[in-house]
Amino acid sequence: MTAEPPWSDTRPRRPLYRQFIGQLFVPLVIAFLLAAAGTVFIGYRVELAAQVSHRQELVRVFSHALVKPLWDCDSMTSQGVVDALASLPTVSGAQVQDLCNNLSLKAGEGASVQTEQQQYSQHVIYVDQQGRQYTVGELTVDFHPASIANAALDMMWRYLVLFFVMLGVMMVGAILVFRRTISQPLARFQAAIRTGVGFGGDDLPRLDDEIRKHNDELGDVMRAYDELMVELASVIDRLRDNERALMEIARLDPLTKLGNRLVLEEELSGAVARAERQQTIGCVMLIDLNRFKPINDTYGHAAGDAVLKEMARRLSSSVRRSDTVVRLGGDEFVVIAENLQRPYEPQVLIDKLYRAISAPLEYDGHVFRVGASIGAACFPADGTNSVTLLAHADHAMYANKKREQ
Amino acid sequence: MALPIRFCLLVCGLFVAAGAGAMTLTVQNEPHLAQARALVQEALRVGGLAVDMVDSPKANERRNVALISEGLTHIDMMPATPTRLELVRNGKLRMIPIPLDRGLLGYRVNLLLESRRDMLAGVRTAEDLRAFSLGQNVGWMDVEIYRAAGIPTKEIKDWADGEFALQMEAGFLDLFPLGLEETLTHFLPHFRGKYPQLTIDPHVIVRYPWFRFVWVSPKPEADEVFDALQRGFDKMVANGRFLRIWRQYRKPPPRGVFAGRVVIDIPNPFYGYDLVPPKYRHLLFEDGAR
Repeated sequence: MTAEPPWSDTRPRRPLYRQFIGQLFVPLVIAFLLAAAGTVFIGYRVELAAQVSHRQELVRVFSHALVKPLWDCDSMTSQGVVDALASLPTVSGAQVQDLCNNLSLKAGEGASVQTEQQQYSQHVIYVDQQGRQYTVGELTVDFHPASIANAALDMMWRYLVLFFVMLGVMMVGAILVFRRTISQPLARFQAAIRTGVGFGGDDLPRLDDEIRKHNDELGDVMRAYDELMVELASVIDRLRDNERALMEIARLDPLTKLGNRLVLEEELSGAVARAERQQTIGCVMLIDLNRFKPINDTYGHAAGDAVLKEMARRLSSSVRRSDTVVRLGGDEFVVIAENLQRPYEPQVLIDKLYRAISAPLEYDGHVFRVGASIGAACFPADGTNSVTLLAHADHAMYANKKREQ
Repeated sequence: MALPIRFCLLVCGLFVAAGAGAMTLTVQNEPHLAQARALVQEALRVGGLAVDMVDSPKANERRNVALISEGLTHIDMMPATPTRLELVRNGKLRMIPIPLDRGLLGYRVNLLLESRRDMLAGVRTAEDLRAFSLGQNVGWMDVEIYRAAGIPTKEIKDWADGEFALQMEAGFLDLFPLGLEETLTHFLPHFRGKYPQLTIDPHVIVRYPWFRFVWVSPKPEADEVFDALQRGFDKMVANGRFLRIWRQYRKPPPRGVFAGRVVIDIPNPFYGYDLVPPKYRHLLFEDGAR
């Protein structure tokens, strides 16, 4: 069972643009509704004012048309004008007081309930050539009740439709802009990051290019990320160096700089596998120095260390570059020789190693002579795993040591 | 009375007289009423009333009646009509029945198209005229007179510049009768300015009682005006000044106008010649035919 990372979330994924639109939608709708309501209200007031103005103008025009017939006391023509006025769709009734003939000329029907907004009156005044004014009648016009509310309602629907279309366009535009300015750069940023860590292909953008493109907050984030990654890479490099050093420390013998038991295990397993694969012969030789302990006890550890280092050098120079020399610990060494062609060749190598070890060495004015007991095991003849081979070599080495004693 | 006191009273009297000033009257004024306006002005002066006259607005008869009965016009000089006589009877208008045109208004001559100049050559009686269609302005009393005589009469609105000529050419009208004297002296040359195809009929004169009087507003502020006019006209008629002023502006139709023309009398259903009181009746024009 694997533990989920701390940032894992089981909730459905919500892209940024959806969050942006979601948070923008309600205020925008409210704003648009307020704008629509305001527009309708203003339109209503304007329409009302226009209607009042239109009615006043209508009354003024017909009053003007009535001046001549009323001045001429021509009630027939006056009646015709009143009839024409009453026939207008917005007019429910009209009446003119003909002062000359003392008649009330009517047409149409007045509204059932008259209000100041629906009834307009105006004196009909004749102005003679000398500018004198004579009131010749009074025109009263009854208009149908205003249908401004219905007009405003119609207008409101039109505006609502218009505003919702605008809202839709704005939202789509906001999505496109958001995706263009935020989502897509973020996606490229993500791709550039993946490129940086080896996930991307050649077609993916490079982070440096993206940073150069964005001289904005997003660029700042990318730059900070880049700096963080550089720092992180530096840390990782240092960790790797440390790891590599630790690995070396763990695999090498610090005194002789030869491989240790770990290296022996790896190399021996590899050599056995290669020998099997290539149908060749290899040998592992276990070497235990003789007369080393008295040197160590008599001349000190420094002398012992010098002997060990010299033995390591002689062993390494006695074998091929492809062969392996390791120190097991104390005065024990192991040599792994691969690809031996002839059956007698291991003994030739053992003899060579004896000679190298037995040669005298000088240390601090003293000449030391050490010997060695060497046990060999060849593979695949003596075994095909390191444990068996080393055990076999160990037996052989001790057998030799007893024989020499 | 001491001399200084007399002097003071004299000075005060002069100031009062200067402060009283002339009365401003709104009086009808139209181009063909020059003699009527001159007579009224003289009558007021002779009657002892100093006035400044301003013109009343141009209007038709109905509006004139409305203006004067409401006191917006103080004096007008229009023919007597049943409406005006009714208003006089009801105290809503005052009449000075002096025949300003000396009854010549009752002599009617027909305007017609030059091309149909002799249309009335065979007409001898009112019955003969019934074959023709007359035109008159809306509201004129003549309409009722002609219709009472059985002569078909149509009312038209525009006539003052001779517009009826077009209706004659359209066949809507045959004749448009107007006062003899005013036609000869004023209307015919005026109409022919715009409608040279118009002329006057050389065969017939229609005659009926038809007088232009002086009318005064019934409002109290016109009482003094009415009295002054009564006094003034009486004096002018008595001393012959009325006729002298009349002749300065008008002249009776020459005898030749009647030569060759048949005078056809038709009654005025609303009044007769006796509407003119005896003291003014001698002013009426006598052509010798009546």
